[in-house]
Amino acid sequence: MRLLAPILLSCLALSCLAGDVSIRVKGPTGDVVSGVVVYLHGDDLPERLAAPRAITIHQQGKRFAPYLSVTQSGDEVVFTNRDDITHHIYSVAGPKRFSFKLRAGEERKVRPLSQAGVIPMGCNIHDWMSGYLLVVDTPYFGFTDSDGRVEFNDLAAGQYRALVWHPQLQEASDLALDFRVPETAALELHLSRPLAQLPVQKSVNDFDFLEEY
Amino acid sequence: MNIRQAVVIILPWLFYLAAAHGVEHKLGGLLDLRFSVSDTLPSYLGGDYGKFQYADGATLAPAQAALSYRGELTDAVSVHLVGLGYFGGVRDGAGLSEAYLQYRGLPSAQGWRWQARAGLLYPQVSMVNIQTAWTSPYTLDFDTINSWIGEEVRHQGIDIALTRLGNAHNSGHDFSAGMAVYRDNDPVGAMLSWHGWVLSSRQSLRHETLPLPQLEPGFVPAASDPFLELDNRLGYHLRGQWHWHNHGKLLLGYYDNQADPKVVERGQWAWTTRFAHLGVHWQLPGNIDLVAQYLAGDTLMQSSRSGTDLVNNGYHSGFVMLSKKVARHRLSARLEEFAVVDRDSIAADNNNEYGKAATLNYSYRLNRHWFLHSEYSWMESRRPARAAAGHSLNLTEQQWQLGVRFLF
Repeated sequence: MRLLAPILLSCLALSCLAGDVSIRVKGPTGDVVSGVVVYLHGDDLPERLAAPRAITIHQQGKRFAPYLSVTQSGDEVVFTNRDDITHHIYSVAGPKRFSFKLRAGEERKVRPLSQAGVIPMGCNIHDWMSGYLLVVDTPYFGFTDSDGRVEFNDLAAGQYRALVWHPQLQEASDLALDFRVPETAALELHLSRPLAQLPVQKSVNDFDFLEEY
Repeated sequence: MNIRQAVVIILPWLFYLAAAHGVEHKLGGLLDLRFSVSDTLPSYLGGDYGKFQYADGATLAPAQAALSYRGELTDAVSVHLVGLGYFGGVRDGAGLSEAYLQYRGLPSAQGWRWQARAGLLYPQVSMVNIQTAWTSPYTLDFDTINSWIGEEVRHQGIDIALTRLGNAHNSGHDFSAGMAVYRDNDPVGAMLSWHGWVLSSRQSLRHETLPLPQLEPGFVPAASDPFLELDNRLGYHLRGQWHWHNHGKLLLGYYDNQADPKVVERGQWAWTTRFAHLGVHWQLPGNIDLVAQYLAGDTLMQSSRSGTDLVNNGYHSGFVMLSKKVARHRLSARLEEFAVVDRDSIAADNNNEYGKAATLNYSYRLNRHWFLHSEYSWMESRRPARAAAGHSLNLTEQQWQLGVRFLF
């Protein structure tokens, strides 16, 4: 009991110090940037906030949907073909390489993603299809909303680094900002250049019975 | 290696792979029921001067049936066989039109991808024959360029292409360069010289011989056998393509069969046939597709004894098509101009031709598989050889077609 009291006390103290942080991403002209990934690195982060899960990336309308996904290392990814044609999904760069054909309506699970990094994906039948999966090694990650904002709640006191990622980011170096909890409640990250144009995942020919002539 | 030898070699291997590794088989196809009303001469398909594939008057026929087989041996290697049948009333028949093995590798991390095909192939020239069994989703009849490709320009060979995919570089631009080396197409040029440009959806079958107009000079055979190897020389086709995702496609190429024009066997000549081609498909504002092709070249065959030019023709053809889809409706309009210029001094064999054509197609998609097409074609041409055979020097031909297509 004598031992437990200080532990409980320090836990209470820590949770008192824990804080919420709101991070906003803005472009070079001050306009908000939505749909980019913000994730946190820091000392002594919890390994996970929830049990490993599977995220789903659809192949729908001959597109990767969503175009950009983010997940934590240790999670799985499920590819679901909602089209009535076969896709040949591949990733030939980054930490997780795979290649498989996915018939109409089929789904396929890719084993836990052990390593953090960017997984660019394509379809070897439909060259215009393009998708990205960012695997992060932190439980704190999210997309900026329509207001350019992402919120992280109940962060333990300590030193953190916020990082921004998107395939169309045109920064010369990694975009990151250091901050401390509980001292910081809100911060802004500014892109020095606007995001490049998102690829339009669409072919010139839009017919159902195309062959590779 | 001819088709028969290839089949003998490939088929047992296929069955072995199918048994051992579970080859995935895919079958596609097309049924095309057509009602056509034509104002024309008897069809070129029967060796006459009509520039359409149907006879003068009304025709109701299951015009075309196609079966397209694809066996996926691995994720990268597949075998393709296309069989076609025509039952339009003139030169009916069924047989093989394409048979090839395809390799399509995965791209490298830098976005480079190799592809290869080997077998009985079309050269990549067409911007519109992109659908099952080399048919066009836009119109029932192909334009004059691709009617010619479908009739004569096919070969047995190996086609290798290298593509640089934009995706690996955060770019929407794909570039590819390809080269084909081939044989078994020495008589290419004979049909274009002796019956001229046509508007048709008839693809020649591998086994067919193609009847020719009966002309005065003794060197014109009764029929051309288009897929022969006569001189044991290889031909080549070079091409480059730029694809800007969601914007357009540009295709450039050069074809030379390198045939020895003096070689003749049983009335079948080797024709030195060369052409350059350009194709574009661009998406215009208002969701309008612009598709255009231009092809220009020459063809030569000579007396094996004296080396005199028996046929020396230049030729060119080009079309511009605009197509717009609104929900289930699609409207396509195509204008074209074509010519053959006879450069030899054999007056009795005048291959000169000049003409224009216009095609308007409306199609309605009933559901995923069924399509209705209504197509009107008009063609005006001047051809002295036709006059020598007792027809009009200047001729206007018209055709209206109603097509019901089932694709799967």
